[in-house]
Amino acid sequence: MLSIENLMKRYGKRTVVDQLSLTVNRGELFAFLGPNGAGKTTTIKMMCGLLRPGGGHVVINGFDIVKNSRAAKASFGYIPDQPFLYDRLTPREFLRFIGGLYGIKPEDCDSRTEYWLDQFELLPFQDELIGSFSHGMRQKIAFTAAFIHNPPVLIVDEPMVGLDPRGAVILKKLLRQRCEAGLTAFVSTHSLDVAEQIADRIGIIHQGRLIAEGTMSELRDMTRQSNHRLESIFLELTRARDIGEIPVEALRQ
Amino acid sequence: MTPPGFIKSLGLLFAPDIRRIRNTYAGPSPQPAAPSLIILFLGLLFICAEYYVSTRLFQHIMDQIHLEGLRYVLLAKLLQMVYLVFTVLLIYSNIVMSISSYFTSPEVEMMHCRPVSESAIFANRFIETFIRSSWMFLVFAVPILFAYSRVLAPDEPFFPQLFLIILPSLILPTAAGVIIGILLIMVFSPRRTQQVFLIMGIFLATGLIMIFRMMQPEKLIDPIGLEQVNFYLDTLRIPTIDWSPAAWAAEGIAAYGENRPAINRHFSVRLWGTALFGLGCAFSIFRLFWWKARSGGRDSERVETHPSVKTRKRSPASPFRCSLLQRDLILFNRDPGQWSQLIVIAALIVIYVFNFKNLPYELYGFQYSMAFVSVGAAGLILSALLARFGFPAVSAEGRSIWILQTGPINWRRYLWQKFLFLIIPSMLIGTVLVVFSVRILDVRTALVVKCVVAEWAIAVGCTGLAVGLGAQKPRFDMKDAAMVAVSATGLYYMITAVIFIVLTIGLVILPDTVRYLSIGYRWLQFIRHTDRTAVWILVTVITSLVVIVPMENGIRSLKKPID
Repeated sequence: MLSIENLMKRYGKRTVVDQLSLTVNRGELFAFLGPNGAGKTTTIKMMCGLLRPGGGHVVINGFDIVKNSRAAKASFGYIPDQPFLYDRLTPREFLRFIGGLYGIKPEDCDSRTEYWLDQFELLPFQDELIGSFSHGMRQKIAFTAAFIHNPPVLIVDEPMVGLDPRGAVILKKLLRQRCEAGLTAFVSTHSLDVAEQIADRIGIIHQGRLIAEGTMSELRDMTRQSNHRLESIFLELTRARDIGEIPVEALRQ
Repeated sequence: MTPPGFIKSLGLLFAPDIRRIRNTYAGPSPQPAAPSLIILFLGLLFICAEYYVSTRLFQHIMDQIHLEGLRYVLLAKLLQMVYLVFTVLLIYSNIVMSISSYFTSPEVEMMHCRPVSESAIFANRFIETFIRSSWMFLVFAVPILFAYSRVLAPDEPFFPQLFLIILPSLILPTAAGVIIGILLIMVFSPRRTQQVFLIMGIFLATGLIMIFRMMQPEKLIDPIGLEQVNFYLDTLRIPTIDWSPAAWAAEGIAAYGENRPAINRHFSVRLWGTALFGLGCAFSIFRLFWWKARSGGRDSERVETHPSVKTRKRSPASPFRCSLLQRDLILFNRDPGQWSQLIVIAALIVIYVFNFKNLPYELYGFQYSMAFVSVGAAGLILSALLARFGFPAVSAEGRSIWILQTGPINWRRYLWQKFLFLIIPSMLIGTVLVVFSVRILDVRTALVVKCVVAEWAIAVGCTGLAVGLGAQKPRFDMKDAAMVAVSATGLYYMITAVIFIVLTIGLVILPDTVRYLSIGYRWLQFIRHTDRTAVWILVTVITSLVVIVPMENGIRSLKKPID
């Protein structure tokens, strides 16, 4: 459903993303972790067609993001870490606009808007200007906008930013439910607890390279730390100063 | 650990601004200096032109009016007029800026949660408001004052005295702006107050410009008699009251023309006293009411869903087209900063019509030529309007551009929709301007039609040029869409638009020009019957190219992800 092959990005002499390859299958929730500056957001921006890859391919729902960008973009919903929305639109007007971009008929859009605003408990605020919303509410609006066209793939950069505990629980539950219904989710996060709770598989990026990938138990096996939490695994994998110290291929197997 | 004192705090609070300016040109990723240098050059050009015109005007008054007392009165009136216009503008500008500096700016919270004294924060914000509001005075008014000093050549050193007068007369509007701004926020929300004052400011500026224009200062250049001077002074009767600091400043400066330094010093002292009193009042208001204003003054953000959203179900257009159009209309409707600019357009049209009506076109004898001059002038107004509304059409997406960039957008349809959205108002404005001006000239209907069609070609071409070039290098980081055109690409657009306007008019008048010239020059006989159809086909081809080439380049640029 989502495949990345030898993805690369350089800024001058600095390699930000280095030969990154991974696959996320249908119905899978993939958590993408990494320290600050590891290349997570750059990877996501290349996946969404916001940045031109320096090399490699991103294929979403069978469509290459560079060669067939419109079809690929119609297949995913994206939530950035800082969702800049239109301050002077109400959620209802905003979702009508988004629906129109994806070619959804107005009558369909109305029912979907109501459903998704209700899911995120935003229905009472549907006629208030987005400009007056808190960061968490904006994040919820960005989620409703990403879900409005029922995409088969969801790409999220930091899903829990600004969400209150209740909002976070709703979102985690919703993501799991949707994935069980066939949604493929690629979630970049710093919240290791969230990744541990909801992800089917986890990938760790460090200095632009994917240094580990697998289920929680596979990651534990890789670091030979049974019963350890993701935090310990993450810290152990990313603390090495020299990336060469980590036997990536061995860990993968 | 003791918190830093006032001076040190003030220095620290200004450090990020200084660093930011330095980093813009000499930091790790410096901005290219060329666009700034071009703008600087154009600014200096403007200042020089203003200085030259003012010098001529003052010199004229000196040469024409031999009565010392009358000369003094006239100069003082002129300075008062300049000062009053600027003071009113400054107060409004300061109110808007003070709301931004003291309430809505992102630095405000950062400052208030640090161990920095209240007085240092007040001073930092006050200086910021002062600089952001007063620069226009320095650019627009100081060349006039310099011209005044050159023409009158006062005995005493003029510039230090000028500085002593100007500084307090700039501090006072800032103090007034801060006081009014804080008191207003106690009643309304910062956003609403700023919007209201933005609109009022535009109304005011437009009104002042129109009044100034209709006073016809160019009449001063005409030779005038004493009777006319009296009449002129009568028309200059403006509300410059004894207690108006603007009048004190003007009187103080004018006193130099009469070599009366004592009067100058008197007004200077009066101004400084009032300015310091105003500053003290502003600080007291800040200390007493800032927290109250910040925590109070809220207004509901609940709005009625836009009617177009409700009626969209019956629209025959595609959801994509509808969505974009509807969003643009709603955002335009809800942003007074945008639609208030329509007032500026209306003012521009009125000034244009006024100027055209007062043109001594009968002197030139060529109504035909004047008709096409009006086509050119209307074209220039259109190109300027499109620099404001068409050129930033794509950049206006701002930081929300990610919504479109990550969606399955047909960029071709998107950009052509922007073009179509602008083409109707452009053609309409062009038609109104041309029809009005050629009707004044009382020319044949056939010529009116020719001028209107030429204006349509200019409107279509300039719209395509503005939208297309604006899409090639969009500035999504710009907060103010009006600033987008102030760039190298914006300048390129203006130059190309002017060339296109000249070329179109040149082609349209070519058959008649050749026919006219062939009367005197026999060698032109062979092209005497220049095919009018061929000329119009050529105009159509050039207009199409001027639209299609930048639009296609813009589409290509929008399709490309960022490198």
